[in-house]
Amino acid sequence: MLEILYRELHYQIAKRNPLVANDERQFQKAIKNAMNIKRGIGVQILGFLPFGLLMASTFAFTNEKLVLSSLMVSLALIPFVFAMYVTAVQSSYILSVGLFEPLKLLPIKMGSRYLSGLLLLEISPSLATVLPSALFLMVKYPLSGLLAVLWLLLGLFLGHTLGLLLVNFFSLRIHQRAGKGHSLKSFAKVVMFLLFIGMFMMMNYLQYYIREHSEQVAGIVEKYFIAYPFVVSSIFDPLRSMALFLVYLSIFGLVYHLTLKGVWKKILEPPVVSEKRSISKFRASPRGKILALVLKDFKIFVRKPAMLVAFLFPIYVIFPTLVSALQRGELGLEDLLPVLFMIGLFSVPGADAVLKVEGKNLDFLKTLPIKKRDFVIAKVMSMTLIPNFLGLSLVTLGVFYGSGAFVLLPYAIFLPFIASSITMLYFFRYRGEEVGIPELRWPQIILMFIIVGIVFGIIALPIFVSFNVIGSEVIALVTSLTLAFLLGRLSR
Amino acid sequence: MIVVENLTKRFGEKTVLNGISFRVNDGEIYGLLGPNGSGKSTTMKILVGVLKPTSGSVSIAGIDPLRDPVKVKEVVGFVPETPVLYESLTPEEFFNFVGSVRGIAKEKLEERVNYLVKAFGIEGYLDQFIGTLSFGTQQKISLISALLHDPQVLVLDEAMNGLDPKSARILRELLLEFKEEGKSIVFSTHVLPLAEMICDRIGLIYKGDLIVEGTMEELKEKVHEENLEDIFLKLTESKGEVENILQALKEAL
Repeated sequence: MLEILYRELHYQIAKRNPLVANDERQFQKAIKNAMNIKRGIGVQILGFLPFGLLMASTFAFTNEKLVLSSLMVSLALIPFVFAMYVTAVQSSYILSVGLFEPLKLLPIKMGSRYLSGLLLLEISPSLATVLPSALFLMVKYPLSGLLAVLWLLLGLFLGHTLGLLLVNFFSLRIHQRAGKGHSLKSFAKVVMFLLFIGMFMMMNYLQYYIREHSEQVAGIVEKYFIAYPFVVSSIFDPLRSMALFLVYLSIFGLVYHLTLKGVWKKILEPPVVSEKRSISKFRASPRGKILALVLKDFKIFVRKPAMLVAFLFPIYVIFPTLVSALQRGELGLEDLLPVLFMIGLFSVPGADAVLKVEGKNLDFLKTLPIKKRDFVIAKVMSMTLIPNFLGLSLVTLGVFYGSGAFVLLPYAIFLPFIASSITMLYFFRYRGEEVGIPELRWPQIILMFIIVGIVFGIIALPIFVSFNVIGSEVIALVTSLTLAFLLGRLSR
Repeated sequence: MIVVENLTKRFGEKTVLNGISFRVNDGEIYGLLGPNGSGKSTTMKILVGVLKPTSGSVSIAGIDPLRDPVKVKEVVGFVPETPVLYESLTPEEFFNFVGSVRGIAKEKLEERVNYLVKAFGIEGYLDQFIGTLSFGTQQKISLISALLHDPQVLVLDEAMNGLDPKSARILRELLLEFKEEGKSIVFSTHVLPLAEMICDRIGLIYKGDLIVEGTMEELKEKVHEENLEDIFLKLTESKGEVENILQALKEAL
C-alpha cells in the first residue's frame, strides 16, 4: 500500500512540475527515479548527508560530556521541527490532491496509518543531518550514543505526532459557510497556532542560551530536563534517560494512536460546521490579477492553518529577540540588524507552502490566462508578506524603545523580497510562459539558503567594514530593483 | 473558428492521438465523440493550451496555443470532465477570483454572474465553501466560471455530467444561443441522443484516430445505420461485442 501511495504522490508531483512535465524524456526519467522508494529516499539522504557530516565534525573534536549533551539537545530539535513541518504541510497537500480518495471506498480500518507511513518516508531522510553526530558520539561513549540515536528518532516521532495533531485540529474540518464570524475565528485559530509554535521557539531560545552558557547554567538543564529537547541532555545518565524515553514513548504513542484514529475519521467524513448566513446576490469585487492570486493564497492559508507552519522559520528567528527585548527593556540596532537579516533569509522555506497551496487546482489555473511572470510575482508577494510584517513589527518595536530603528525600515521590506525573488527565479527558470509547480526538495531549499546567504553577505559588507547602514541599504535597494527587473522579464 | 491539423500526442510509448484533423466553424457546435480513453479529453486539453501536442498544429480564433497559450486562454471557455475548483473558497470568492484574473469589469462581472447563478439555480450556495457542495453544484460553478468572460470559443468536456434535468436543458438552450451568436463550440458527451439533437457536425475518435466526420445525415449515409448509437457501436467495433456480452449475461443470470 505504502509503495502505491508513494508512487502516486511522486507521480502527481512530477506531473505538476513544469521543469520535467513538458519534456517527455525528462518526465519519464523523473517518474522512474521518483517513483522508486529506495532511490527516492537514497537521493534525499545524499542531499542531507553533507550537512550531517559537517555538524558531526563538532562531535569529533569535543570530549566534554556537558558540551556534548548540550550540542545533542540542539541537534534534537532538527528532526522534531522538520517532522512537524513536513507532516503539517505535506499532509494538507497529500489530501488536497485526493491521494486518499480511492481508499475511502475500501474496507480499511484506519487508513491514516498509511498517511503517517507515507509522511514518515518523506521525513526520515532528514535524520541524515543528525544521525552522523550521534554515531560519532557512539564511538566515544557507546551507550550515550545509542541513547542519542533513540532520542533523535523519538524527536522525529514527536514532531510527526504534533504535526498530525495540527492537521487533525486545523485542516480537516469543513466550514460550510464563510459567515461573519468565520474570518474572526480563523484569525483566532492562527493566533493560537502561532502561540503554539512560539512555545517551541521559547524552548529553542532557552536551549540556545544553555548551549552558550553550558557550564554556568548546567543547573537549568537539570531543571528543564523533562521538556523535549532538553531531556536529551540525560544521555550521560543512561538509567534516567531510558526511563524518560519510555515515558515519552508511551505517552506520545497513545497520543499518536488516538490522533490517527481522529484523522481517519475526519478524512472519511469531514465534520461540517454550518453558520447561519446566506446571500442570494453576487457582489463583484474584481482586483488586479496578481493581487487576486495573493488574496486567494491567503484565504486558503487562513482556512488551512496547518500550512502556516511553512512560515514558522521567520517566527523561529524573531521570538528570542522579542523575549530578550521585553526582558531587557531595550531593542538596539545591533539587536535588530541580525534578526532582520535572519527573517529575510528564513523567508526561503515559505516557497514550499505558497506553491503547495495550489494542490490539484493547478489544472484549473492552467486554463486561465495567467502568465508565468504574474504567477511568480504573486507567489513572491505571498512569500514576502508574513516576513515583511514580522520585520516591520520588530522595527516598530525598536522605534517604540527609542533606538532610532526607523533607519532599518528598508531592510524589513527589501530582504524578504530579495530572498523570495531569488528562490522563485531559481525554481521558475524553465522556459515558456506557462504556469506550473516546480518540485521543491529540501537539498534545493538548502542550496537557496546558501545563495541567498551569499547575497545577504554582500549586502551586509558595508556594515561589517564601517557600520555603514545606508550604504548597505543602497545595495539592498539596487539588488531588489535588479530582481524586480528580472521578475518582470520572466517569460520565454 | 478552430482548425486542427495532423494532431499527434504521445505519452511515452503510447500514442493517444494519431494525426487527427478537423475544423469547427464560427456558429457551429461540433460533437467530439468516442469511447472512454479514445483521446477526446486529450484533444480538448490541447485545444485550450493545457497540454502540448507531440506534433501537428492547432489554431483557435486565429491563435496558435503552442505559440501563445496565454492568449488562447483569454478567448476560450473550458469545462473539464471533472470540476477542479478551489474547495476552500466560496463560489462568490471563486467567481471574483476568476473575474479578476480574466480582467472582467465590475459591472459586467456582477451582471453576468447574477444572470448565470440564477439560470443554474445556485443563488443559495454563493457563500458556502465549494468543497461542501455536491458534484452537480460544483459542475455548475465550473460551467459558470467558463462562461464569465463571454468566450468566443467553448470547449466542453462532458459538461452535462452531474447536471439535473432542468440545468441540462438550460445549458442546451444556452449552447444553441451561443451558436446563434457565432461562437465555435466543441462538445463531448456520452449521451448520444443529446449529441444528435444539438451538434451540427460530429467527429468520432477511436483509438486516437478520427474515423468518421460529418453531419448526422452524412453519417447515416456513410455507415448505413439509423441513429447515432448504432453508428457509434458499429464504428467502434462494439456492436457484435455488446450483443455477445448481453447474450452471455442473460445466460449467466
